Amino acid sequence: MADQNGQIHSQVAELLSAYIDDEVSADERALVEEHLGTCPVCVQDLTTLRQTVTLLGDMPHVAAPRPFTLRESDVRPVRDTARLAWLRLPWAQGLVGAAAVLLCVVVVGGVVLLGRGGMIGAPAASEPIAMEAGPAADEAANEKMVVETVVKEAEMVLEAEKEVERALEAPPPAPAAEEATTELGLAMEAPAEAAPVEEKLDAADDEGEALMATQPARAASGGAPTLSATPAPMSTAAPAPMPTTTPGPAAEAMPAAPPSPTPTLLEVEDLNLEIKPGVIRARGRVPLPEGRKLLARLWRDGQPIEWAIIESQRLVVEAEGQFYLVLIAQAEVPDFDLFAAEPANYEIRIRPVDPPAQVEIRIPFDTYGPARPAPTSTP
Amino acid sequence: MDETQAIQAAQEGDLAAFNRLVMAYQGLAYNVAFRIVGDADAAADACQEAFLSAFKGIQKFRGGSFKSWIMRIVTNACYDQMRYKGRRPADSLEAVTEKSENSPKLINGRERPEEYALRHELNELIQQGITTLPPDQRAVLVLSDVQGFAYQEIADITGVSLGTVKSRLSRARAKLRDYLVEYQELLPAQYRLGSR
Repeated sequence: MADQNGQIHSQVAELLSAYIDDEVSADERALVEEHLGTCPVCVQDLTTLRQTVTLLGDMPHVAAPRPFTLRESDVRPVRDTARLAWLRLPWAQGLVGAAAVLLCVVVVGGVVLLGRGGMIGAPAASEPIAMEAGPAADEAANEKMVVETVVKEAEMVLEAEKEVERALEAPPPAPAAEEATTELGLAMEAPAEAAPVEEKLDAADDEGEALMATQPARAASGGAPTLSATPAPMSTAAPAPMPTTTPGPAAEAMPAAPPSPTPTLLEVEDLNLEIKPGVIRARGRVPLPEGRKLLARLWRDGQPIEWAIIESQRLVVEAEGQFYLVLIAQAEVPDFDLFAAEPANYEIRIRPVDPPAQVEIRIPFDTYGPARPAPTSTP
Repeated sequence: MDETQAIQAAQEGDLAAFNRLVMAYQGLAYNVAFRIVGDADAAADACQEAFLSAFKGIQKFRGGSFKSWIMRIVTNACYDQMRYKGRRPADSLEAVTEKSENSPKLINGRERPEEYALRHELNELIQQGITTLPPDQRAVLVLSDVQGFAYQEIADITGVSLGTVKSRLSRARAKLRDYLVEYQELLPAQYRLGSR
């Protein structure tokens, strides 16, 4: 008898919430009301639950801090890119075409990109199911980031100081950089070096194994550093800055590359960088005029990689030089989760387009976690 | 232009028409997002990403309740925000109070300052209580009790069965009630559960 009463009590306790909303069947209602006549605990529970619901309903409406209307610049590249991709389809080659085609599938089809979990049918970010099903990997990645951020904060400061010193010793601006300065009407920082940065980086990447083996690239020696002349002040949310890889012996042995303008590196202020599986978000302020169109690209160990879908690489400078970049991984990119891939040095490189200018924003980070303790042998 | 026309035009690429829909739902979207994630910046990010996703995927909308459809996208964006930001331990009550300068405030002109302060304190406590709930329970609780969605709408938005909505809501309410009871000594008598 006591067991039966206990069962009824538990059953009614479960039903009280729906009972408040009149979302119970006639039988359930009868059961609840009969039990309430004999159980002061459930009566009290019902009272406090009702009060809780009332309090929630009385919470004030919160005004949105800004309108969320979209601009042409937010969406136009999507349609342009998609159209071009379809036109190119018969000749599609390489990842650019594939990425654009994937874009159609991904964006319109609603395949989940953010956070791995996913579903078809809603074009949004990931599903609740993904939260429930397998947060462990994401959690591990996020925790890794947090730990890494803390561990490297001290290094970050030291690196920043060193970079400033190096920048002060750098040669005066190249003519191309001066031109860009004039074009944009900006106060430029001194370019780091005269040789083409990308050429050198590409060459250096031929020696990728050696460079990757030095953990991280800051350990590489020789050559002038090519990181932004004044490293961006980074928020605590941002991983440590990474000096751009420097040319190794192989790079020096390469035939002289045709001269190309060296981009002048722009400082990013108030940088906030978030990296999670499939998504990289960066926001901050750059000395560029409002409305300037930018294109971002992810580099790994000094080599540009096709990681993000094309439309997500575009952005426009907003008021007061603010930018907000969201890089969304292609659905089938092998290194969807950068922190699950082989550790590497990354950079988000952002350049003005339409018209192009010889300036560049670089946001470095790496996925080398803190040193792990040696595994202990188990009996 | 009514909602159906705006949806149709948006599906044909008309951004202005889509923005009409944004204007119609952004208040609701932000409220839901703010209550679920418990952070103004994260809520704004969730909304912005949700509306962008919605525009990109509006071809997938095949009729039915556009409100439920858009709220589903918003809710999913909130899950993403929580997945990243929610890894941190829940803020302490003190921390929430300290952050109150950044909290949205609505001042009712007929309300006395002390009344406003009490109500504000209560709302802070409730919001903090919501953020202690598991994400799936938060969403159901906010959609139901803060925004007044019906059970079936919540089932459509969250993509779970009606029974799951009921059980999640039941657990969420019970946990929030327990939380408020635990901290109610911080509140004036008229706001204490069981005292009315």
